[in-house]
Amino acid sequence: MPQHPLRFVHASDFHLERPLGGVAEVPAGLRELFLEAPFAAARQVFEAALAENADALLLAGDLLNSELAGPRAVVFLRDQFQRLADHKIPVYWACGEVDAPDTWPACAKLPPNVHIFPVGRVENIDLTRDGQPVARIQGISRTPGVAPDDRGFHRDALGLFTVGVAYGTAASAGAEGDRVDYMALGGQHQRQTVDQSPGIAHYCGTPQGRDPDETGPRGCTVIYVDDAGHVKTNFVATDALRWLTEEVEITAGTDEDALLQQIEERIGKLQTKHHGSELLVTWQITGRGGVLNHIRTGGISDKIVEVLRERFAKVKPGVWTVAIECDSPLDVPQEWVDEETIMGDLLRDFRKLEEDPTIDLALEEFLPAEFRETQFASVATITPEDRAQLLWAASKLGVDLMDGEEVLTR
Amino acid sequence: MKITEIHIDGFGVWHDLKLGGLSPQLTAFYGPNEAGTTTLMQFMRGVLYGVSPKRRGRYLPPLNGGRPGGSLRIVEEGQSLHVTRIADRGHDDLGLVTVVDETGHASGDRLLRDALAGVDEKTYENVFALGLGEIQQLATLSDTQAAEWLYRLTSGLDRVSLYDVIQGLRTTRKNLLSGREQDSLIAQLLTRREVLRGEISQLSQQNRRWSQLAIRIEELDAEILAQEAKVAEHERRARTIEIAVSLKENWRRRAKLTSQLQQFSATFQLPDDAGARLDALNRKVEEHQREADILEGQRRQLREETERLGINELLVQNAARIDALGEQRDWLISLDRQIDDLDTEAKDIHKRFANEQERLASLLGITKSEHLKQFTSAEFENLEPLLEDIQSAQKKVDSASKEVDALTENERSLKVRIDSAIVGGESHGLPMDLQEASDLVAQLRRRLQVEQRLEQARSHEIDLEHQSHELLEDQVMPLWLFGWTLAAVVLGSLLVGLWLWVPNNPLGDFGSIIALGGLGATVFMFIFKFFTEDAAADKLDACQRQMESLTRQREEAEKDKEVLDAELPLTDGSVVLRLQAAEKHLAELENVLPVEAQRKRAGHEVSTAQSRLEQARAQFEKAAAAWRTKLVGLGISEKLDPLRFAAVAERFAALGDLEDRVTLRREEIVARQREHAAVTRRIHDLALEVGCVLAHKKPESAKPTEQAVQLASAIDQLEHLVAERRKQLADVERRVQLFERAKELRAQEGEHRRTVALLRRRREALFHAAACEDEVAYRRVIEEQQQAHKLRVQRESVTREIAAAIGTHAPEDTFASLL
Repeated sequence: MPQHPLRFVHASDFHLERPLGGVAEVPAGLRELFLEAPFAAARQVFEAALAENADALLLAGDLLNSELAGPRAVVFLRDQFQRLADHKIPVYWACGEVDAPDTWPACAKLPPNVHIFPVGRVENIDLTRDGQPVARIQGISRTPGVAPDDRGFHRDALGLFTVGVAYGTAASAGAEGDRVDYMALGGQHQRQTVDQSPGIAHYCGTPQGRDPDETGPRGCTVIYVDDAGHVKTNFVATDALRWLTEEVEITAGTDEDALLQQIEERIGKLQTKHHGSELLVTWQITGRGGVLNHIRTGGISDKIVEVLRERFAKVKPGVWTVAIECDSPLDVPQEWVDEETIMGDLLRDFRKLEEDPTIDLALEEFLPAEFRETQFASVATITPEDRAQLLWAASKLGVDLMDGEEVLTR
Repeated sequence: MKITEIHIDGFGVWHDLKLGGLSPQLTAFYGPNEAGTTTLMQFMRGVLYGVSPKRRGRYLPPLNGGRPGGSLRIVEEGQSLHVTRIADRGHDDLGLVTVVDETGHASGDRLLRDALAGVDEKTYENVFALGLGEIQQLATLSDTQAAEWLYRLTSGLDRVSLYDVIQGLRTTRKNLLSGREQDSLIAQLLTRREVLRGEISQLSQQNRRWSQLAIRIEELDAEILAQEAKVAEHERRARTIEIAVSLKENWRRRAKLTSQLQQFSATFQLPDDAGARLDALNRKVEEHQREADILEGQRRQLREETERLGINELLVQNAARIDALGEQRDWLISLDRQIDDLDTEAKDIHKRFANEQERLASLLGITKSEHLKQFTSAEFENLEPLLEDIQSAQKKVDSASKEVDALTENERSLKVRIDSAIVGGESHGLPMDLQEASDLVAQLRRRLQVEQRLEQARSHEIDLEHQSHELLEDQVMPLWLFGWTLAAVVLGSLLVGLWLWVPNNPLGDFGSIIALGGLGATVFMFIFKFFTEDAAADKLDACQRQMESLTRQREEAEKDKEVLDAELPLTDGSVVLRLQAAEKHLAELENVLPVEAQRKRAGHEVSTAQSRLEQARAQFEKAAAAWRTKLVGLGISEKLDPLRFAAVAERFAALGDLEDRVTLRREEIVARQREHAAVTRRIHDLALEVGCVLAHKKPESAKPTEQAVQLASAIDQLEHLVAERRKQLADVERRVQLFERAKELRAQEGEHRRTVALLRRRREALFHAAACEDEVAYRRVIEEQQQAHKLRVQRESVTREIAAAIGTHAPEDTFASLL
């Protein structure tokens, strides 16, 4: 049977119920965009399907939690599905963890071009063009908490190009795409191709990063199938806001001004690289030098962040600095530890606390007396896993306060 | 570091203030408010750490004049330094520092920085210096707070105040967690989280409510739609009745028209356009009839034209034969030309044959040329061996003769070379014999040696004469030497005389020694003179003996020369030139020696070649005699040259060829004439057959031969036939075209006539269908039909009005029951 050239758009994890977050404060100018970004990104997915004149839109789950997302998200999706219906583009939706088929409001009738795959069994649907089948679409919706049973997936017996749609898979690693020609997977926010041969298994990722941990461009995947059945995937960025984590390495001679200049130069490069995108950047400072001791929340980090936001966040598209972080250990000369000064006493005490985990930090005594029996008491409770992190942060705070270096003259 | 002196040039209110003798332990400055103590403290800080912008703004420029700045005298590790800082270079000038040590040596701020030991201003302020502000804080605070202040002031940690650090941390902690919830950030955030959770829960409930409302809205929408449908149905019925009332009159009119139409329904229903169709049929019949008549006339015209063409059918049938003969026209002309050419060539060859025969007869010495014909080729062939013998002998004679000539020439050239060598020597009077020439060269060489020896003796003699003259002069003492000798003798004599004869001589105690020296000098000079003159006399004698010996040698040489001159026939020229000529001549004679041998060998070869020449000549004579005998036997002149006979023999063979060619040409002429006659006959036969004979043309001028007349008429007849054939073929082609056209016309005519018949049948069918006998009856029926049509139109108009009044409201049947 001759293979027809095909074109699909593969997307998942809209999570319309989740606005952007993960930051201590949301800039006033971006507050609206933080709320709208999931919808804007999802809209770009539908635009991509229309622009590509796709044969079908493959949705691999977690589009929305209709209970949390509210009517707006439901109406939004129904309208977008209707747009595709007007252009005769079918939608194949394998539900995921939060968008089980029975959670879709009964009052919101879906257009006839939307096919929701059943839970528990793989359903086969012929994709037709001019009345003739050109591809076979197979899919299964996920039972919450259980990986979909993919035994029902199989290549078409007559040689039609076969696409599988599912939210995750129970197949072993590296064999996710072996049963079909292309396995459209959802459930991972990071774009990833997990199997290449004989079939391709691909997670398209979320169309919009939600927090500083979901860095880099996000979007959907366009799948091209040529006459010979060869598959080519193409990433299409759809994110309205882009989270980035940039590492800046400094040397022992770098001061605060040089660090700021280094970051500014990097911002220029980022604006060129991600032209046209609003960027939310977390700066991770590494390397050596005394400046590392002062990079902490409440220290020079706040001042540099303030300068950067003032300079780069007010333009459109802007670069909004989320935070400046430094996970490097303290960089203090040994003589500071050895000398008979208050700083030396402080550093030596921290050494002792780090070396001997049995020493009780006794943080409760710092709680006001009226809080010690309330829910706030948990604030003073430190687990062994958090102890090292707490001591590192406290030592950094102490050195920063007692070092007395001048910061940021610009 | 201790400050011992202060000098303010200009700073705040101070001008030219000098404070000396400061205590090394403690010095207290005190005074009422605004006395200038803080200014003094700021001055000292300014000298040590520079005039900061804040300090400059407050204290500079000086209120009472003076240069902005001043100096401090400090003692650092026992060394006294005078530190001056002047800040007059602009608004941002921290001040130029000059440090003068005890030796008066001035330098920059390095010594000052050393004295401060790396303590920066902030540390200095926190640890070493307290300002009025700090003191004032203490004065206004309670004991506890004062204690805190004292703690703060005394716990300065380098550049950071430990107190400030701890206080800052406390404040931060308090902001995060404090006893009052409204002041605690963490408590606020937790509260805010709970509020948000509540809001989310509320929104979730609203979400469910939205779903319920959406379903309820759908149900209400459906009910509304049902009620709206009922209302629409009732409105529709009311409207139907209204329309029926308005339709009543038209409805009755239409019924009346219908009944009138039914009266015509019995008659046969002709189509509405029956009259038009009948007229159209009549028009078509007339039109096709007219076309058929026109075509018939055209066909008749074509037939007449065909008859006018007058085609010769016999000629057309024989067109292929005429074409075949026409293709032979060029060949016929070619035959005619060939016959003429062959005849001319035969005549020329025959003429050449007769001339050649006569010439050969004369060459062979035969008086009558006819006699030559009696010679056969065999006879000529029998002469050929003899002729070859003669030619062979002649070749040998020529070869021997050439050899003799070549050898003779070689001998002559050798002889010329020898003669030239001998003649060159004779011109110089040199002997021709090799031995004599060799002796002459030896004598001349001896003569040259004698002459050279004589010349050397003469030269040596002259040298000896010069030498004897010099030796003769050497026997007389030179004047300068004689003077010195005389002076030495006189001086020695005077000194001896002075010592001997003069008492108390001025020479003193050394008089005897000096006198003895003078005597010695006198004796030495005498001995020197004697030996010198004696040696010169000996050398003169030896020289005279050599001269005598040399004279004898020269005389002997002259005698030898005379003897040699007598032997040698010297005429003129130097001996050297003669010797060179003789040596050259001798060399030539030596070179000629092998040539002479060659010449002798060449002479011998010449004589041998001459004998071979003689033998060849004898053979030639023998062959010539045999040749002549044979010629006489044949009756040919014996004087006939064999070479000429060879040429004649070759031409005799060519004579036969000429005769054969004449015969061949004449045979070819006959053959061509036969072919020509055959073609001519075929042409005339064909012309007669097709009835196209061309009358003979009589030439007007000279009387032609019979053959020429026939030839001319054959070609003319042929051309006439071809031209006639071409014309007939064109006519035939034209006739075919006319036939084709006539055929087309006949087909068209038949078409029109068939159409006419068809149309007439169709018209009859119309009449028959309408049960009419003829056209008149048929037209009457049409008239009735038109009247019914008018009624129908009226009825349709009424119907349209009824339909317009009803519109799309309901079908017409609905109103029938109402009306």
